[in-house]
Amino acid sequence: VERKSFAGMHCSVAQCLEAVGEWWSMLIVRDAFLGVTRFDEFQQRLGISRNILNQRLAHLAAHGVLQKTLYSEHPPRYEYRLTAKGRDLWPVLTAMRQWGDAYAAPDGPPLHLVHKSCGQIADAIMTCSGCGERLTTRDVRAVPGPGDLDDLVPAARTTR
Amino acid sequence: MKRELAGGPCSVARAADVLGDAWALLILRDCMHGVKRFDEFQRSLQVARNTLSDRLGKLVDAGVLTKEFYQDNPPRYEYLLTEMGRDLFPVLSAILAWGDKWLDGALGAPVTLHHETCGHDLEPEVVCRHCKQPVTDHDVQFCVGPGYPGVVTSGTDFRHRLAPAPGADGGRPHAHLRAS
Repeated sequence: VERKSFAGMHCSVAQCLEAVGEWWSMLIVRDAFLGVTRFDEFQQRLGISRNILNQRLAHLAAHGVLQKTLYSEHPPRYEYRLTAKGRDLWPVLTAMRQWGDAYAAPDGPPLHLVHKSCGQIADAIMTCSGCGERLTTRDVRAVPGPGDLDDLVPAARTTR
Repeated sequence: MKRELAGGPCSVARAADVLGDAWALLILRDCMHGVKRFDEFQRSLQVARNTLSDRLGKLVDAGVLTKEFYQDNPPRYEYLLTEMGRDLFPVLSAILAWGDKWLDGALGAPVTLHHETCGHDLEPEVVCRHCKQPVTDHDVQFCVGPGYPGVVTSGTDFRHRLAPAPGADGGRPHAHLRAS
């Protein structure tokens, strides 16, 4: 069953989910970061049916997250690579992976990321672009921005 | 029937499996705005009551929300984030930032985050806890971690894409992509 579209909600979280909210899409993006480019390899790794994978790849290409490029003419074969918009999903995947490492990896993280510039296993944290301090839900407040058309943040909810 | 995502050795898939679907994330977004009660979620999300009830139940079962009794007659419950749920804030703020940058429809961000500690409107950044420098996909190496199982069912194994240890060969798909 096709879920309701979020396209009409003026909320950047909903709009992101409209593009990648079906979780197979996010796992396709994850695999693209790991260097997977070809249909058969996506299919083998994800174990989903070819037509579902086709739909998801086409959806991500239509939203500009992946670019589909011809790499062989006879027979015609395509590969899928992340665009700049797709690579910008890196923080989303990083945040999901770290949360999964913390709460859903009883044997320890399946994967480590090593930060090349400092050589340490990169335990990534989310920080404030203004002061560099770590962000938590307790020390931020959502305030209406220039594109708020729907009263997303009713006044009563902005203070807790 | 939704196939379980969490079969392979991947924390992203396991997180996605807990989050369930897009409604679950929007429920969590509302929780972070201070929404607690069923009717309020329903008004905000305009979602069918049975769908909402199902997603709230799944988030409670997963340990992300707790369901607390707050009134006797009639019995009423509210849904509160647990620590596990509050720890999803980086996921939501990363999703928010991506939506703001790429999908704002040229209107600007619908909602901005104000960092009360420093007084700035902020954009979340991912940095390395050790050196405090930004972490991007181009400056990390993917390595086998301690929780990578010895035996993995067929297709979901991606050990060949990982370096066996930090600094060893492999685990640099971005280098490979640049070279090709």
